[in-house]
Parts: sequence; structure tokens; C-alpha cells
Amino acid sequence: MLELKDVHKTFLKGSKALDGVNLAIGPGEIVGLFGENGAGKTTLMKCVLGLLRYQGTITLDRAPITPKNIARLSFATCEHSYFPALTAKAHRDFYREHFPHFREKRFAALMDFFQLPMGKAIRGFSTGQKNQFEVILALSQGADYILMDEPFAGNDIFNREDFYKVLLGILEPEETILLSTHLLEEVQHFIGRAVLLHQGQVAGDVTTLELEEQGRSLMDFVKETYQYKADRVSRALGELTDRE
Amino acid sequence: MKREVSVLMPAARLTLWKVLGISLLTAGVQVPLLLAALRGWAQSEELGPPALEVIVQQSRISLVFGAGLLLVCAVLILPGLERGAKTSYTLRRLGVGERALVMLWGGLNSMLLLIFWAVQTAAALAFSQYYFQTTLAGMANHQTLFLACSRSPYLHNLLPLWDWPYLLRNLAGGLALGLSAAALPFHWRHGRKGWSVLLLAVFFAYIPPMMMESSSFASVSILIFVIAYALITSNVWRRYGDED
Repeated sequence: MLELKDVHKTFLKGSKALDGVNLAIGPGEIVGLFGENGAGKTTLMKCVLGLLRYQGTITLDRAPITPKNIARLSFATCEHSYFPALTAKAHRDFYREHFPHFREKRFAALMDFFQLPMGKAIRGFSTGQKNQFEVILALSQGADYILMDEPFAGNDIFNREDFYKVLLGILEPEETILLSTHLLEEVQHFIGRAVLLHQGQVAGDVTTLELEEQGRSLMDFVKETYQYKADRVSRALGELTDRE
Repeated sequence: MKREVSVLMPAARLTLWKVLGISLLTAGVQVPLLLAALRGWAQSEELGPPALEVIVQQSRISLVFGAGLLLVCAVLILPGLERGAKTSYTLRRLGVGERALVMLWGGLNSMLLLIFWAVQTAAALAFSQYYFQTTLAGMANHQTLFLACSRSPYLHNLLPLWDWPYLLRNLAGGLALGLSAAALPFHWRHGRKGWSVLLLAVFFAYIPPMMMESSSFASVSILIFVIAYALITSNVWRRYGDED
């Protein structure tokens, strides 16, 4: 269980990124993390991974996250965390050495599925291929909790569809995904739970089963939580054209 | 232990060939300069052939050595820089620990500096051999090189023979410079400055070969490098948590 209790993060410039986040994610869950730009999604993930300091408590099966258990977490980010000068083969060797549960078979299968070259330096890949490789590394690390921050930014719709299907097909029951994305409608059938962040706080937390029972879509839930006013744009445009 | 060695791979792959290339290029620039200085003497009206140390001084190869060393330092900084990807997200999730990584990369950098040093020494020795066999044919003996190495500041720094303070100074300088080159990108990744590498590189590369040293200079240099090494290590350890 990944647990965040009263997590606060304030940057040196004074901006508050996380403001008392409480969240518990159990094994095997596929959780979508949503929120507007600046809501705190990336900061939350970086705090979990120990890349940023924070106030509060973050534990993994009740133990603090340290170099001893950090291998149980993996991270795929749109900023990319691979070594651009290394080949896929060199990455495989490196990960095998550093992550004891590295899933070599899965790595080979995914590389094959996406037809990525093993002997080419990653900096020579296309943007889409780089994203694919980033996700392949995160999925193959052998982590129990896989954190993904906008991993498909730059990939086309077919590519993303492929990935969702592959993900659902290869994940083992105990593997947990925390996926941050703006592509709500695309992932709604893939995730089992949606967590909404707003101004550094958890503004909504619901399972897709609950939404189904209520007859609501994920988009409806998000709009309600954020009190989205659908007529806002038309009113603004109306005022603008009146003035002119 | 295998993990520790493996963590050197990304840095070694990025730097080894570049350092070798710069070393050979530097030597490649030095040899024509030495030959030009030799030709300058041949065309002059001086009676006897000049001593090796005079040719070395007139060729100004110490400046080329300094430029090469600065280039090597720039290359050593490369693996820690985040160009095209946030590799620190991976480096900071390794079981080895980021601080240990800086120390390991510092050791690797020192080895690479040693390679640069060895190539420059080999070039100087090769030229000496050529000079003894051609210009000083019949006049040189096994003491000639020894005398040149003790009279020429550049050669003496490069190849101190049994002058232990100078040997220790070179060793301490190589270790401090190597660690400094690994610490600079570490500090940058954490949003800090760390320009000690530049000061150390200039001190290491330019000052000794350009001046005839007093006997106490080597001791003072050793002290400076040892203090620098201790300060850099303490800064890496102490300021690990600072960030944003």
C-alpha cells in the first residue's frame, strides 16, 4: 500500500504545490491522476519518488521510501529519464544490474511489439519511440508501483490505444499504476479509479465502478468536481462580440 | 560491487572515446609545434644544438596541454548534465545512492585524466627520442632525458620521475579535479552552483607548467588539492538534501 498522509510541498519561491494531500493506493489498482496544469500531479509523483523534499508522510507498506525499497517504484515521465547516449541493449544491461526484479522477458516482448531497435542510441529515436521506450523501461523495471506522468505526450492516437491494450494485457494482479494525464476520455475505460487534484488538494476520488453505478461518465464527474461552467465560453464570446 | 562498476557505464560510454580523442588531438598539435621549434633552431645561426628543455619551452606546448586538459574537464562534466532527458530521475532511484555515484564518477574521471596525462607523456617521450636520435645523435645518453625533465617545468610536471612531492601533487590534483567534475553537475541538478572545477582545472593545467616552481610550491599545491577534495566531498554529503 502506497500511503500519503498530510503531504505538503511549498517551493522556495513560496508557491504551494501540495496542500495536505491524503491518499492511499493499494496493490493492483490502476489509478488515473487528473487535474488542471499546476494542480500538483507531477509534484506529487516527485515527492513519492523522493525527488523533492516535502512535509508529511509517504510510506510504502508502512515503511518510508529509501534507497532500500525505491526499486519497488518505477517512473515514466514525459521529460524522459533514460540515458540518451545509451542503446536499448545497454539500458537493459544497466537495469538488470540495478533492479533485481527486472522483467527481461517483458522488456524484449515490448521492444519487439513496438519494433524499437536494440542497438541504436535512444537520442536517435523519434519522439514517439522515446515515449514508448520510457514506458517500456518503467514497465520492465519489476516495480510494484509504476508512476507515469503524461507518458504519451507526443504519441498519436493509434499508438496510445495500442499501449492501453498492451498495458491491460501484460500487467500482473499485484502491479499498481498511477497515471497522470489530461486524456480523460481515452483512459476512462482503462483505469479503475480516478483521483482529482485541484490547487494541491485531493478534490475528488472515485472508482469507475461507482461512476458506472451512478450512470455518470468520468468527464461528468470531473466537470462537477471542478464546477465547470459549460456556458462560460459562449458568454465570454457574446460579451466580446457585443463590445465590438 | 558489480552494481558500483555498472553505475560507471553510462559515464564511461559518454566520455572514454572523447577523452582519448582529445588526448590524441592535443598530442597531434604538440608534435608539429615541437618540430617547428626544432626547425627554427636549424635555420638560426646558433652553433650547438639546443637542449631539449629549450625546444620544449620555445614550442609553447604547455599552453596546448592546458587547453587539452580544459577540454577534457568539459567532457567529464557531460554525463551529469541533463541534455535531452532528466537522467537524474533514474540516477536518484538507484540503490547505489546519488552521493556514492558522485564519488564513483569522480574516481572514473580521475582515471580518464590519467589517460590524458599518459598520452601527453608518451608524446613528449616520443619527441625526446626522435630529438636524441636525430639532432643530438651521438651526444645524448640516458642522463639527457633525466636532465631535461628536471630543468623544464613542463616536462618535470608531466614526468616528475622520483620527485615524490610532484608525483603526489599530480595525484592529488587528478583526484580533486576528477571529483570536482563529477560534483558540478550534481550541484546543478540540485539547483546550485559548483564552479570549483574551473578554478581547479586552471590551477592544475596552466600555473605549474608555466612557471619554474620553488621546492615549496609542490607542497602548497598538494595542500590546496587535498583541501579542495575534502571540501567538495563534504559539500556533496552535507548539501544532498538542499534543492528546488
